[in-house]
Amino acid sequence: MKRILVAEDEVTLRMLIVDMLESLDVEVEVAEDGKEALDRILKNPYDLVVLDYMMPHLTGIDVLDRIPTAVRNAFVVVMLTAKTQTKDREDAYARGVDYFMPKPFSPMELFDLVEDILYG
Amino acid sequence: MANFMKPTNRLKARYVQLIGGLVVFVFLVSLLAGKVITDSQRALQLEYDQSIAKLQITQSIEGNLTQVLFRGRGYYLFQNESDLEKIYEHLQALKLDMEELKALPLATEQRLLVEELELFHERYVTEILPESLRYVQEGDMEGIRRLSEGGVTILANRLVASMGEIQYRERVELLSITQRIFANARYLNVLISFFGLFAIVALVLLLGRILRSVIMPIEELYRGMRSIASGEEVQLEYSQREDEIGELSRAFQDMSVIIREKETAMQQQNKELLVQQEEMRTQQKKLKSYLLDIENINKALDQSAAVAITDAKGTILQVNRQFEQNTGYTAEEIIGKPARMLQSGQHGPAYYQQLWKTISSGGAWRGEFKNRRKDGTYFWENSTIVPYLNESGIPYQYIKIGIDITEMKNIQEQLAISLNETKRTTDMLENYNNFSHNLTLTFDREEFFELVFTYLKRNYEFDKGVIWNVTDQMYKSKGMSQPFVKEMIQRDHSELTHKLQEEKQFSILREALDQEAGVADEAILANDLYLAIFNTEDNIAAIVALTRIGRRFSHEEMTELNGLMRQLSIAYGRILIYQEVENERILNETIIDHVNEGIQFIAKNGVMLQYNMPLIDMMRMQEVLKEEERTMEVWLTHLLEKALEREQLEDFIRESLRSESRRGRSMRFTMENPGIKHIELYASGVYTNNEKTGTIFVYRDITREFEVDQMKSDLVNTVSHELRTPLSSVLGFTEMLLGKAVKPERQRVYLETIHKEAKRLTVLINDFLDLQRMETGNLLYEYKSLGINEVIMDTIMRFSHDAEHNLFFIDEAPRVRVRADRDRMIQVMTNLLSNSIKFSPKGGDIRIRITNEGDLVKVAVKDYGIGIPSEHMPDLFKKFKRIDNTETRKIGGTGLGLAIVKEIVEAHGGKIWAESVEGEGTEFFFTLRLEEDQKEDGKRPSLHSGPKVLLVEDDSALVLLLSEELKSQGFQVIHHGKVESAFNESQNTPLAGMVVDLKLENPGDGWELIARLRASEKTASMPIIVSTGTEPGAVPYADLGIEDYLVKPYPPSKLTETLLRVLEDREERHGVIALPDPSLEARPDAAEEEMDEAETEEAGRTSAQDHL
Repeated sequence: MKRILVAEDEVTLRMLIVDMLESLDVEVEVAEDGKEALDRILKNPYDLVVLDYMMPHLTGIDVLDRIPTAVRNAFVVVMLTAKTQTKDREDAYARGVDYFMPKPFSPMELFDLVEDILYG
Repeated sequence: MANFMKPTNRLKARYVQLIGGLVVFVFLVSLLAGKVITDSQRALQLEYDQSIAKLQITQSIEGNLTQVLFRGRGYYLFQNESDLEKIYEHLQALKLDMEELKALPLATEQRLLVEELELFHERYVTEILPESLRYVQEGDMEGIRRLSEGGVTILANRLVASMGEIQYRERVELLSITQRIFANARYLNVLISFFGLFAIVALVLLLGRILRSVIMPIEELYRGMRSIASGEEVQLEYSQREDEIGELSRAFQDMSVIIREKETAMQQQNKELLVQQEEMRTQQKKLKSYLLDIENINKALDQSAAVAITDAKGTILQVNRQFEQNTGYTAEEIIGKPARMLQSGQHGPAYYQQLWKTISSGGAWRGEFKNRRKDGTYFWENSTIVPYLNESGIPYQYIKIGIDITEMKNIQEQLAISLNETKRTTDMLENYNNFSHNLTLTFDREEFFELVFTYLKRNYEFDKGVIWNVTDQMYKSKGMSQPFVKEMIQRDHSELTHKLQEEKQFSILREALDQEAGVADEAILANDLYLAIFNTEDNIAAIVALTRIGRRFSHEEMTELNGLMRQLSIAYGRILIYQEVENERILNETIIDHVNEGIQFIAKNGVMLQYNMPLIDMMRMQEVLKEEERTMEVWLTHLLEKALEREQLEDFIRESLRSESRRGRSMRFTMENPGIKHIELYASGVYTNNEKTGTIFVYRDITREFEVDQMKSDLVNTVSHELRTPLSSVLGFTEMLLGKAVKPERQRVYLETIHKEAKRLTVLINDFLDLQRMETGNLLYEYKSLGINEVIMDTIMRFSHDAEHNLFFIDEAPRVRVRADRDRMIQVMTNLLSNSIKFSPKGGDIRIRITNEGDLVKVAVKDYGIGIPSEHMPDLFKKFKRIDNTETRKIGGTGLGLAIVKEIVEAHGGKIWAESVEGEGTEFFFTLRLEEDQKEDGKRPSLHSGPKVLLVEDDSALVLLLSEELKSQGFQVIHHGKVESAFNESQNTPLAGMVVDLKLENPGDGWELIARLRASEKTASMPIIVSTGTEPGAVPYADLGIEDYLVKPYPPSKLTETLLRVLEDREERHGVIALPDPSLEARPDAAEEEMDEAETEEAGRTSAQDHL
C-alpha cells in the first residue's frame, strides 16, 4: 500500500486533503507543522508528500532542505502554496519540489495528480 | 692567549738522563774490558818474561857449564891458575843461575833437571874439582882422565844438552805466548769493533729521538714562522705538549697572534705613514714652490714695494729704492730718522698704538697708511710690518713692506660711492620684485594688507602710518596706538575720500604736534601723505596715510607711490574677485555637503577630485580622506569593500567612467555592517566643450524606501496567503460536495467547514479593510459618551459559551464614562479576549480588571497561558506578526487583531502595552481618557477598599445592572460566570457576600455551587443571596443557609437593599462589619444616572426576558 504524508497546518485543509484521498487505496499520515513533517519523513518511508509551504517552525522548503538526498529521492513532493508568482514557483522547483499546486487548489486536480503519480 | 704553563715533562732532564746513562754504561763497559785485557796482557807478559828468563838462564847455565868444563880442561892441561879462577867464577855464576832458575815456575822435568844440575854442581865442587886438583898437583894425568871418563864429562854434556832442550821448549813456549798475544789482540779488535758498533747504534737512536722531539718541532716552528711571515694563520700541532717545545709552540702561537695584531697595526701605521709621507712630499713641493715664490716675491718686492727696516724703537735703518721713490727722501736723508716723521696725521694715535701693540708683541701688522712725502704731498700705502725676533722672542728690528695704493684708493672711493647707489637701486628692485611676486600669490586680504604695509615700511621710511579698508575696519598701522587708529578709522572720511577720488593722492605739510616732535625745541614740520587703493569699480577700497616728521616725501617718491597704488588697486581687485569666487565656492560646497545624497566627481584619469561629506559618511570612506592621492585604486577599493555586490558595482563604476554616452546610468547595491543599507547609485558624464572631463556619481540612501517597498511586498504576500488558505477550504469542500458522492453526515461537516472558513474569510477581509482604513485615516469613529464597564461586561458575555476558559471581571472603577466608539471598543475587547483565549490553549482563567488611574481608566486583560517569548514582544502589535506556534495556529486568527486594537486605542488617545512571562501568561493593558466633566469632578475614588461582593451570573446585562447598583453602594464587585471559577474565587478572596444565579451554563449550576460553598469551611457561613428566574417553590433555602432570594426580574436596588439588610443583620448578630463606608459612595451625576438607568433598565429587561 502506498504511503502518503499530508503536511498542512490548517486543520480544514488537512481534512479536505485526507478526505479527498480516501477513495484511493493509500495509507495517509498527517503532520501539523514543518517540524513534525520533517520528523515523519526522516522516520518513515513515503511515496508521496503533500507539503504546505507556509507552516510554523519550518516552511515546506526548509523541510526539503533538511532531508538527505537518499531519503529525498524516495518520494515525490507536491507543494501547496499561496505563493503563486513565477519566481516563487521557479524557486520551489530549484529547491527540489516536483509538483507545484497554488492555493486555492482544486481537490480533484490534486486527486488526479496524486493518482497519476502513484499509479500512472 | 699566552700559555706559560711550566713544562712538566722537561726535555733537558730527559736527555741528561738518557745521555748520562749511556756515558756511564760505556765507561763501565770500557773499564771492565780494560781490566780484562790488562790482566790477560800481564799474565802473558809474565809468562813471556819467565820464558825469556829461563831461556837466558839456561843459556847462561849452558855457557857456564861449558866454561867450567872448558876451563877445567885447560887447567888440567896447563895448570893455568887463571883457568882455575875462571872455573870458580863460572861455578859461582852457575850457582846463581840455578838459584835464579829455581825462582821461576818450572815444569816438573825442569825441576828434576835443576835438581840434577844442583847435584852435579855439588859433586863438581865437592868431589870432582878437588880430585882433579889433586891429580893435577900430583900430575896424575891418568887420574884425571879417569876422572873425566868416570862420567863427569858425559854428565856435563848431558846437562848441556838438557839445557838446550829447555831452551827449545822455552822457545816453543815463547812462540805460543806470541800467538796468544796475537789472538788477544784480535779478540780485542773484535770487541772494540763491536763496542764501537753499539755506540754508533745508541748514538743513532739518541739522535733520532732528538730529531723527532726537538728538530722536527723546531722545523715546524720554522715553517710556522715562514707561514706567519707570509701572513698565514698558524696552528701548531705541538702546542699541546707539556714540554719546552709545547711551551715554545704556545709562546710562538701567542707571538704569532701578537705579531698578527702588531702587523695589522703596523700596516695601519704604514698606511698612515705613507699618507704622511705623501703629504710631506706635497708639502715639500709646496715649500719648494714657496721658496721659488719667495724669491720671485723678493724680486718683485724690490720692483714694486717700498721696504724699510727699523730698529726696535722705529728708527729707520735701511730703505730700498722704491721707498726713496715713494717718499721722496733719499736713503741718506732718511736713515737714522724715526719712521713717524712720515705720518700724515690722517690716522689717530690709537691707530699707531694698535700697530705697536701688535708688532712689539711679535705679531705681523697689516694695514693702510696715509703718509706724507718729503714735498708735503700725501700717498697711501698698503703696509705689512713684520718684526724680527731675537732668540727670546723679543723684536729687535722691524721690516715694513709698503705698496703705494694711492691711485687704487682713489678709484676705490669713487667705486664705493657708485656701488652704494647701485645697491640701493637693486635692493629696491629686489624688494619690489619680491613684493610683487608675493602680491600675486596672495588671495587673502589680511595678507595683502600686511604685505603692502611691510613693503611701504621698508621702502618709504615714515614715522607714522596706517592702511585701512574703508568697508570693514581691517587695518595695519605703525607708530600709533590701537585705540587711536580705531577711532581715526571710524571717523567720517567723506571729505578725504572725495579728495582722494579726485586727486588719487595728496600731501599735506603741517607743523608737527607736540607728541610727534618729541623733545625738539624749534618747530618741526610734518608731512602727511594720503594715498588710495581702488576697487574694480574705481571706488576707494582702502586708504593709506603716511606721516614723516621733520622730513618730506620727495617728488620721486610720490610718483613712485602713485604708480604703486595703481598696481595695488589691480591686485586688490583681483583679491576681491577671488574672494567672491571663493565665497561662492564655499557656498556651493556647503550646499553640496548639506544635500542627503553623496556626490563624487571623478576625473577622466580616475582621480577623485571632488566629494561631499554625505558621501564620506554614507559610504564610510573616511579612510580615503587620509590618503594623499585619491586615485581610482584608493577610493574604489574603499568603496567596494563596503558593498555586497562588489563585482557589479565595480563593473558599473568602470563602465560609467568609460562610457561616452550622455545618458545617466543607475544601479542599486547593498552595504552591510552596521545594518543593511540600500544605495541607489546614479552616474552621469560631465562634458566641457563636447569633451568628457569626468563623471559625477550620486549615491542615494534608499534604505527607507527599500524597506517600505519590502514591507508592502511582504504584506501583499501575507495577505495573499491569509486569504488563499480559507478560500482553499471553501472552494475545496464545495468541489468535493459537487463532484463526489459524499455521505450525508460528511456533507454537513463540509458545509459547516465551508461556512466557518467563509466567515473567517469575511473576518479577515473586514479586519484587513478596517486596519487599512484606520492606517490611512479613512475610518470614521463615532465618539459617544460610553460606560466602559458595560462594554467590557457585554463583551465578556459574548465568550460565555467557551467552556474551557473562565472569564471573570474585577470591576474596581465606579461607573466610568469615556468618549469612545462603542463598536470599536467592543472590537478592542473582543480582540483582546480572543487573544487571551488563544494564548491559554489549555483553558484556565482570564481576568479582566478595570481601575481608575487619575483621569484615565485602565483596562487589564490577563491570561495564565503560554506567554510570549520576549523576542516577540516588540512585534506584538504589528500586522500579521503572529507568534509562530502550532498551538496558536490551531486557534487561528488573522494576525491583525492586535494591530487593530492598537490603532483603535491610539485613535482614542489611549495607550496600549503588554507584559508577559513565557510559560506564565500575558497581561494586556490599555488606557482611555475619562470624559471631560468627570475629570473636572476630580477624584473619583477607586473602590479598592470597599467590601467585596462576588456576583455569579451569566447574563451580562444583569451583571452590569447589579454591578453598578452594588458599586453605587460602595461595594467592590467581582463577577464570575462559571461555577468552578466562582468557587475558586470565593476560597481565595475575603468576601462580604455572594449573589448566585441558580441557572448557570454547564458545567454545574447555582445549586451545585451553593452546595460546594457550604461544604467548604471558608464559606460555610458566607451570606448568599440567590438570584433566580423561577419561583422558589419547595426549595429549602433556609436549610442551605441562603439569606434571601430574588426572583427575576427585580429592580437592582432590591438586591442592594437585601444585601445591606443581611449584612446589617450579621453585624448585629456577629459584630462583623461588612458594610461599605457610605462616605466612599460615589454616585454619578443625576443626568447621567437617568440616562444610565434608562439604558440599563432596558438591558436588564431584555436579558431578564431571555431567562424567563
